[in-house]
Amino acid sequence: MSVFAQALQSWRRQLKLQLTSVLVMGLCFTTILVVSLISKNIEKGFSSWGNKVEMSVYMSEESGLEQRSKVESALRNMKEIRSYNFLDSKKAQKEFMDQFSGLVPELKELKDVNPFLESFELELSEIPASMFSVNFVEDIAKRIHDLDGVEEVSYGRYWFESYMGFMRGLKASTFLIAMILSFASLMIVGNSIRALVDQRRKEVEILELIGATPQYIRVPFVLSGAITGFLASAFSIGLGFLLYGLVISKFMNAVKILGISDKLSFFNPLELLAIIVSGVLIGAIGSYLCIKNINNGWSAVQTKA
Amino acid sequence: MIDLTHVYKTYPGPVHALRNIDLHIGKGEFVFLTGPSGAGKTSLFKLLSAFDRVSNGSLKVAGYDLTSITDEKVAFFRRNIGVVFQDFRLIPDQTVFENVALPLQIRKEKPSYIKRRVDEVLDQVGLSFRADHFPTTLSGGEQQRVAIARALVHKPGLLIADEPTGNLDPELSLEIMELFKRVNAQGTTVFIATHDHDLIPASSRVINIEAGFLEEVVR
Repeated sequence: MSVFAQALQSWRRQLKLQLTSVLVMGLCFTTILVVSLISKNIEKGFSSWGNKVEMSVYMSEESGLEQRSKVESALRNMKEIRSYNFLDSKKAQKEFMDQFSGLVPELKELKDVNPFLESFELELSEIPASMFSVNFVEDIAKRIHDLDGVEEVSYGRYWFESYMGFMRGLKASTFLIAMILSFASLMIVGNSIRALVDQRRKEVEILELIGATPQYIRVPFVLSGAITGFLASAFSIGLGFLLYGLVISKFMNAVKILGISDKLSFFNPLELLAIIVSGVLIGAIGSYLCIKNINNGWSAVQTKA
Repeated sequence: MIDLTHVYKTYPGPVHALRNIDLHIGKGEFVFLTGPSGAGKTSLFKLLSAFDRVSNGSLKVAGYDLTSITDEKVAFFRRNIGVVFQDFRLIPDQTVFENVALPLQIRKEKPSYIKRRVDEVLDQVGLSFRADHFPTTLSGGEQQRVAIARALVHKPGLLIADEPTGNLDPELSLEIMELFKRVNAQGTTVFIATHDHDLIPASSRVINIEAGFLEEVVR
């Protein structure tokens, strides 16, 4: 009988115990998965707001048509800029008057005075999460500011810094919660594997006493642990997917209002593969560490007869 | 086959289970160990089967020095002996056939040989009809016979049995003793601990143990 067949046979014969372990490990993995999924989607959702950075580039009063053309050409060539729109001073004044003269009627008396500068309204391309920082945006603003004829570049720095601080806090707290839950889950998984191996302590003793080598004893145990880990991770993916679908359908309206419905997602195939591989590794390594403690060639001496 | 020189076994407490044991058992001998409960029989058998380590002295069995044997070599030593434990030590979720086949599987014998040999030894102990049963469904006597079959299946050079007939009726006990005699006649050294003096043939070598001290019984 092959080693894998032995592991499968032993798994089937301890079906109740193994299924209990799959359930306990699966629920722990699901906890980790759900926390990671929430963390991932919160980050993506908020990032989708913050990544749409808009800038206003004000030309100086002295700047002429030639300088404006040069600035426009420079903006067109910057890959960080998705789109731009030129706003001349008259249009800017009109827009301002349209918006505020109703609230402040005195503004109508100042229609011959135009304090507004010509400007370009820019929208930046979506910034990759890895590059997204205050410095990155500030660097773009500085490069534009250095162009001839540019008076000022405004991008709501205060809002942006607050947003970045919020994102950092969010990342740190979800990471911390994920770590605490992962650690607690791994402890439970470890105990579950230990209980499973302890149930088979007698079997290890017997195998040792009739001359089985450590390799002969350990390999089926490790494979059996890997099977348990595989099933637990597959179970957690299934349960996680169900919960994800349930939450999305329940809160779809809120998600639509926030404008992040297209940003939310479950794990991609590569992440799913990583979850399965992690489950298999945790099951196998956990079993190996537990069996190694028992199977030292003298396990019967450690147990009181 | 078995050489003990000034062997001591002391358990925490301290409890002196074996004191200054000197014993030599040659190849092919059939020896009985007698003594009251708690005298040290099981402690001695544990040492002989590398079930436990000596506290002091020298112990050599089947060419292996068990006082200095490494963890790697101990498995290979155990393959050369057959041990019948007082508490059977069968794997509950494996069938009778699988339990008996274990020593051969560990030695990576061919499946066809394993099948033939296990059938043969189960026939010897009268349990062929129980081959597919699990140990928990067997009586104490039947479990003992499975344990004996497992100890014999790989034709060991030394067979150690701790109270092998303790759970058997007198008729079956005699049958098992006959089986041990046949095994011994094929060249296997047999060392058996027993309470039952009726089972010991008049011509046999008998060693008695009391309070951890060993003495040869002159008959």
